[in-house]
Amino acid sequence: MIDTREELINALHEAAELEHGLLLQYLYAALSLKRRTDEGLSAQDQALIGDWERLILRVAVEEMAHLGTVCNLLSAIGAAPHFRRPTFPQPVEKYYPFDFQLERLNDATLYRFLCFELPVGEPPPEPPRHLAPLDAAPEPIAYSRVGELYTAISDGFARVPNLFIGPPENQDEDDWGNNMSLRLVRDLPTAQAAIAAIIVEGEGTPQNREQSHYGRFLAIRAALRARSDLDPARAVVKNPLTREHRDTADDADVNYLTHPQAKLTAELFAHVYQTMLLLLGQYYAYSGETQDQRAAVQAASRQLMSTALRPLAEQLTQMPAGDAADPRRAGPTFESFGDVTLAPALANRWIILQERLATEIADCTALAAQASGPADPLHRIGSIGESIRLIAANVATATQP
Amino acid sequence: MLTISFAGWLQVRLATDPDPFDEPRGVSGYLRTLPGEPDFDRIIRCDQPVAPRTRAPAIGVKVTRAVVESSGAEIPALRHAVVRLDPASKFEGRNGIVAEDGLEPILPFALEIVADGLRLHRPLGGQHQHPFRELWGEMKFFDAAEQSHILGVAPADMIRIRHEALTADLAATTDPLVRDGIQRRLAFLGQASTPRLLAWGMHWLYPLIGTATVRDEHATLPTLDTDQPWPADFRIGVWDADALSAWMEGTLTIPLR
Repeated sequence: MIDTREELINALHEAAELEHGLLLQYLYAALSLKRRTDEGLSAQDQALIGDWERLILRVAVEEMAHLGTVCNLLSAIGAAPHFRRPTFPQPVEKYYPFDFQLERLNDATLYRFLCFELPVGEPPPEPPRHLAPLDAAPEPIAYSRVGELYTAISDGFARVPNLFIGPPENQDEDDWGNNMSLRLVRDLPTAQAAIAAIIVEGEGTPQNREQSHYGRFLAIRAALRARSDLDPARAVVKNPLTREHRDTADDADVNYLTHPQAKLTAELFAHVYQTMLLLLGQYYAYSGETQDQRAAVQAASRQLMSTALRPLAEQLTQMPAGDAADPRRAGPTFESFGDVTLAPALANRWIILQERLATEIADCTALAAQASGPADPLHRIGSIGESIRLIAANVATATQP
Repeated sequence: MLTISFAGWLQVRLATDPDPFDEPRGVSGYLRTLPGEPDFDRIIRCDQPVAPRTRAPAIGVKVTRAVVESSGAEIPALRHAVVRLDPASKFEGRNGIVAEDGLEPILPFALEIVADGLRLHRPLGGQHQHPFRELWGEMKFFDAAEQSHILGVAPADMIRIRHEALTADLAATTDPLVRDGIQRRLAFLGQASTPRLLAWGMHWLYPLIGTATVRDEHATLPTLDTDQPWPADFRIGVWDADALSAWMEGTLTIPLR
């Protein structure tokens, strides 16, 4: 039972890590999908799989909004936003009551997604044939469904007194140009309304599951199961990594990328991902930024997602994971090369940000120079580098003294 | 001054936010390729469309009038001349990095006018750098009367007529690929936001100062001043998103020697 601010903060940290972990798994699965007819797809299947990609990406965007709302909940009670998370994979019970894996889209992946979003009262999904079904100091949080965690958090908000001490201006209700629904949290009713909305978006209601995350994954799984002839995803490896991390278990089901260019591209991806997290952290934690600077930070994070992270991930899924003859493809690792923390002094935040962007621009230029032609996955990285260069210029303009 | 007025439908095949600007098929934005269509290439085409969709307006921007302002004399040889932009022209907003929706510059930019024995061409010229603020467009919506004049019917009727025509096309075909494409278009036409796109419009004023090319085999033109800027003043709008087409109208003003 949550009945202290500390326990509520810990629970919200757990929720933030869950939302973050969910959306990355959804992104990985969506971006693993085949896109071209020269990958063995008919024109109609190309469009069908494009529909699935759109649906799953939309669910991922909604999870981003949930993460933003959780940051608002944290902010409302005086805590900082939380963007840390452990490296994939995160086997069941080690961190969360779920099996968190970066995996290409298939029936097993959709089974796990349905387990994540399972509403109370719904029977568990049928497991794939080859899988068995899935069972201060502050008090530990026990839950087996995402909705259960949020229900405990909602109860905690009602139980802990004198909670709402965070400055309202630190919260976010922007739609980020993507029809995202973030909710402001001012008091107990708005906190519980925000949490209820997160639960409904994930699980739906007993009267209407169709538009919920659960309902959408159910529909995609049914469509995929009706097509035993269709393998919609590229052969991207499970849980790709560029190196071993401290939280990588000895027996972890990971795949180290060894193809030189894929490994470098994956490292670049992870670096840009961390830069984006740094920007998000700065957006949610004022340190005297002007409104223009805050807008520039938000724009930069949004534009890195669209023009750098997603294209880099798409190019990675076309690159070999191992040697040139390896039919397995690489994928975005979402690794962290160290803790992403904000400098307390505003001036230093800009310096560190520009250093990171300069490194990324240089890496893009170096990788693009190795492209053998327009059809080479490395070719697009030149354009990605140009986008990052212009983003850096925009931030520099906004931060001119 | 020689004032050349032009108008007509152009085609532009592009993905939209939040898709990356160079997304080839369209996934998360409101524009997507149909089954069997080639990838988006973002190029603004004033003629020779790529994979034009059925029931779309005929693509072609043409000269409607060319007048020597001082005398009022028209240049008949230019009437119906083909108008083109640079073959690589695109809306270069780059997901808001350069400019937000509705403000995008068109880059690279050149205007070309071609008729029998006649060719006028001039690129934008000059040095321009990110964020190209001097090349940004400005939002300039087309009101209902303008839309009706351009479409030939009221905007709501245009959507309804297109929907009815595609419904008839759907009933007339058994080809699964064609049926899939039509069904996607019908779903798009049924969305509340689709008719609102018809009001969309942007305006640009580009003084063309690059090296001008004038070919006038039959000596039909007055002597054009190729040193002074040629202002290209134009609007693009009435966005028929189903057909990936928009209306372009404007003037090119050329000083005379």
